[in-house]
Amino acid sequence: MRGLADAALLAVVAIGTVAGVPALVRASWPRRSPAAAILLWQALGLAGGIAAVGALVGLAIPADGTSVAGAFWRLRDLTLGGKGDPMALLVARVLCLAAGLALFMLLCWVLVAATAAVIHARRRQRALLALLAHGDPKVPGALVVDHPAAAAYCLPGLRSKIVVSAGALELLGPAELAAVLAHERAHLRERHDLVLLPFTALRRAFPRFGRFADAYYSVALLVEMLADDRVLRARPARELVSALVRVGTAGQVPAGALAAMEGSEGEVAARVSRLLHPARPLPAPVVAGICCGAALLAAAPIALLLV
Amino acid sequence: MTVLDRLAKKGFARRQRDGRAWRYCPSATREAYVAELMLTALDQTGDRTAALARFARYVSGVEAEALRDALEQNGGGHEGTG
Repeated sequence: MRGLADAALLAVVAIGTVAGVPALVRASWPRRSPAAAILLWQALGLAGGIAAVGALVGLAIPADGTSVAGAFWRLRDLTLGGKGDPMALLVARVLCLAAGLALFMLLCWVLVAATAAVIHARRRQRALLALLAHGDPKVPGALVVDHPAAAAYCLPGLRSKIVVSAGALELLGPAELAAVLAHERAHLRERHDLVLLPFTALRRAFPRFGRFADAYYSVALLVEMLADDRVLRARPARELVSALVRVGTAGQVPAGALAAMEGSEGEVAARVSRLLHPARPLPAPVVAGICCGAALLAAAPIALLLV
Repeated sequence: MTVLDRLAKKGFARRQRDGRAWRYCPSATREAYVAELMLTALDQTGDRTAALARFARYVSGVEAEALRDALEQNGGGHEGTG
């Protein structure tokens, strides 16, 4: 870290990641290789956060620091000794440092709060399921809740559960139910909830900032597509398509829920059209390139901070 | 006793002193609890924690239309297996 120059570079990275969101949202290649795209989204988020904090810290520390720790000592000497830099510059430096630390703590807090909310909601769900749900031979390994509306979901975690409503059990045939279970098991096995958590956290903390919501909906859709792809390893696409269409059109969208689902509008249709007209996955070298790019993107701000 | 005690701690049962004993009663009906589960499952709570992953949410009229178009283009809709 060498003061202003690196701070400017980090600021460019931070702004670049936010500016890159719409491009990645609009891109069509992620549907061909969801896993690579999810990796890139993670790298984009990580790089953006670190670069934003790093840019503020970089503004604070003097240019002749050799490392972050060294620079902090130098800053302390300058602040206490009062020699060299004019007072106004010192004040600006301390303010930048405070802003950087505050942003860092805010980001950590956002993640912790979202995790706590998820854990709380899952505990409540598990307690309710323990009281209400029962098994059914039609869906081995899953829990059934007696309600006429069609719904199927999974509750990720160490004690994960797959839940199917009686309505869904009624609506779907054995092959469709098997596809639903395979889809949910893929979510649980690969812990897609953890992949999505940082984006959920950002959207939850900054509901007015559209780019966070866009990023969240993109990653959420990619995660569904990834789970769909896992189903296709063992089962034909038509079972999954049929289950998606049946469950998706089984109920009315209540007027009140429209605002809540604005960004996921079209999600089911997108998954179905992708299953009906599968595009070839990206060639292996391209996927490898994307993964390297993601690694570089995440590593660059860290390297700038530490070196 | 222990089971009811735990249920009370989790808020599923209410208890009242009756002399030296506790009297327990359920704090909500089974239907209310099922409704709570399903509201979350159908994503109608406006909750943004994403504690669970749904297989597919209910689609709007516009999206249902798009689905029908996609299926028709693919060869005359889907066959029921139910």
